Amino acid sequence: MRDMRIDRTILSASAARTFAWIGLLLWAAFAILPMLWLVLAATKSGAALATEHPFAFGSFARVGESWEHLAEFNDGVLYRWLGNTVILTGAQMVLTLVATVPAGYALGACTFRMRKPILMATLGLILLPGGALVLPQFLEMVALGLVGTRWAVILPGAVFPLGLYLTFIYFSSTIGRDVYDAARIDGCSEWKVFLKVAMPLAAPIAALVTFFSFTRNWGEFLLPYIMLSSDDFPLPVGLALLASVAPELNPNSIVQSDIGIPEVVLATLLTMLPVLLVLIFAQRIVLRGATIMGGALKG
Amino acid sequence: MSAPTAVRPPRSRSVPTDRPSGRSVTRGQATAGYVLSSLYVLLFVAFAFLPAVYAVYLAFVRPGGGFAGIGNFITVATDFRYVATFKNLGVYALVFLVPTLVISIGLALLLHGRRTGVASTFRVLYYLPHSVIGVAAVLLWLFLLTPRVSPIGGLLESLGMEQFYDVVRPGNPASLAVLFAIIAVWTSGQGILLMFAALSSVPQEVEEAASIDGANAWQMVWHIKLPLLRKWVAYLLITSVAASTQLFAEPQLMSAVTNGAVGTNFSPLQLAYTFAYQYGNFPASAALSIQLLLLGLGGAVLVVKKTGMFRVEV
Repeated sequence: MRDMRIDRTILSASAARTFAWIGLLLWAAFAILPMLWLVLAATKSGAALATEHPFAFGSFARVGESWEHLAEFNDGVLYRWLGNTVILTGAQMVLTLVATVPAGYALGACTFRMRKPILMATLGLILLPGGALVLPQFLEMVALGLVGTRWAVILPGAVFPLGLYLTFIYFSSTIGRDVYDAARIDGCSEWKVFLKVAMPLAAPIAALVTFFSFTRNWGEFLLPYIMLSSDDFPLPVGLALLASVAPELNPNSIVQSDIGIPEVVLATLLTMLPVLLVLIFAQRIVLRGATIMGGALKG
Repeated sequence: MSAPTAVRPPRSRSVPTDRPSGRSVTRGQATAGYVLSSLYVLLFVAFAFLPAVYAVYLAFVRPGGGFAGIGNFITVATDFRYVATFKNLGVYALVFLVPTLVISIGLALLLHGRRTGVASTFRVLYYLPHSVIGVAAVLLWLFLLTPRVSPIGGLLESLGMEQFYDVVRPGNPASLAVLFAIIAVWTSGQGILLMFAALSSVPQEVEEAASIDGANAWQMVWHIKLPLLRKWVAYLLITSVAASTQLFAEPQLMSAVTNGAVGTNFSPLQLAYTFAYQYGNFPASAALSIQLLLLGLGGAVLVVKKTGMFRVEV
């Protein structure tokens, strides 16, 4: 009797394990297969895409051919888009980092009157849909005479409230106030506490803010779409333009070009690849970020 | 980089302490606090706070100048596309929120308790689609649903669909709202990561005590693990609602590749864009933006109040 019950428990436990594995693997397949298909699609011609096995490999020559077509499109506008993305994202990352890390430290380690209002306003902005602010931001940039310049995208894109909040949590909870107080008691000035005590400990959170800032700014669409002219577009906006030119995607396209599906596939890969590489390279940072977020919501 | 000091709030002589401990606050700390946070505050005020205030002001001004009352709100609300855009938003949010929550919690529970290496490998795999940002994800799914190139093209063609438009034609179950929801769920690996981190913060002793008390796996999930996820669910819910109101690039792209057959003025934000740039009616556009902000804010306040989220020592 007793043995039978144990048998049943073991049996149902192993059934549950099997189901768990099936679930995990199915979702992994759903996550990965579309990306794998996209990579392989770049190696095939438009005709081959229709006829060959979806996960068959075409040829590297086809990738080179697509690349040539892309590079020739509108006198090499692709290179300009790529350069624009690098400049915009780079400037936004630097500005985000320089603004966010010291501020997060200040809120976590120093007591001053505006501390609470700043934190509250930041929490409010995290929860607000930022897209709705883009139109007023446009009018502001008109008033400042910055529309059409890169500043119109860089400045609003460098406000990163979630980054500030995570930095605040990191300096106030993960590191802890006692560390700074100890240094203060030892006679360190505030600047020394910041530069000699806090900054050497800031690498993990700086990496996290940089990573998040990179992924959100690299893919930005609405802000540059509204603020810039087509020569100054970054890759994601350019990619949308490219897709609307390809006759296989848009049968009504009136633009004469060599842009077909393989070219758009390649451009899509080019747009996502940097983020993918950074993500794979920085996977530990991402996993740690989730843990810091955990400190924020616990209790 | 030296922080600009122009926006530093006026420093009062006696800085009152905001900590219950009653510790006296040195002036040095306050100075350092203001200087170090000044660049962030400057950017925040200039490019988030002021535009929001300006949007509110603009929403109550007539296009030609003068106080408009709720005139601009009436203008947008009586637009023939207004109701449809919010309906699209609602369908999208619903079809995207529920699966995101179920999948994030479900997969995190399944991963919890696996060996560390297995758990982190799977988490990275689930997070990878997150790298297929915005427009790239839309294009990828556009390819996947364009019969001539799709890996399931045969299936689509056997259903009588020859073009992408046939797949997302209004009235089809795979309408745009559903397609965008699928894309959103596909790229939502972050939720799984967050939920997993929350589960990992359960002290080992709690689980051991529960299993000694004879709790089975289901009871453990129901009584111990799920209650711990409450705030995370709230966070995911709020950020997802906020994200869903921002739907713009996806339908805009669809509109571009179908020459406006689908996706034009699909989302409220697109309609706001139309008001601003096609009609030059910025006040009406601001009135619409305000409604989106209120929608996000209302949802956020509700969830925060209900769950006591963000109750950190501030």
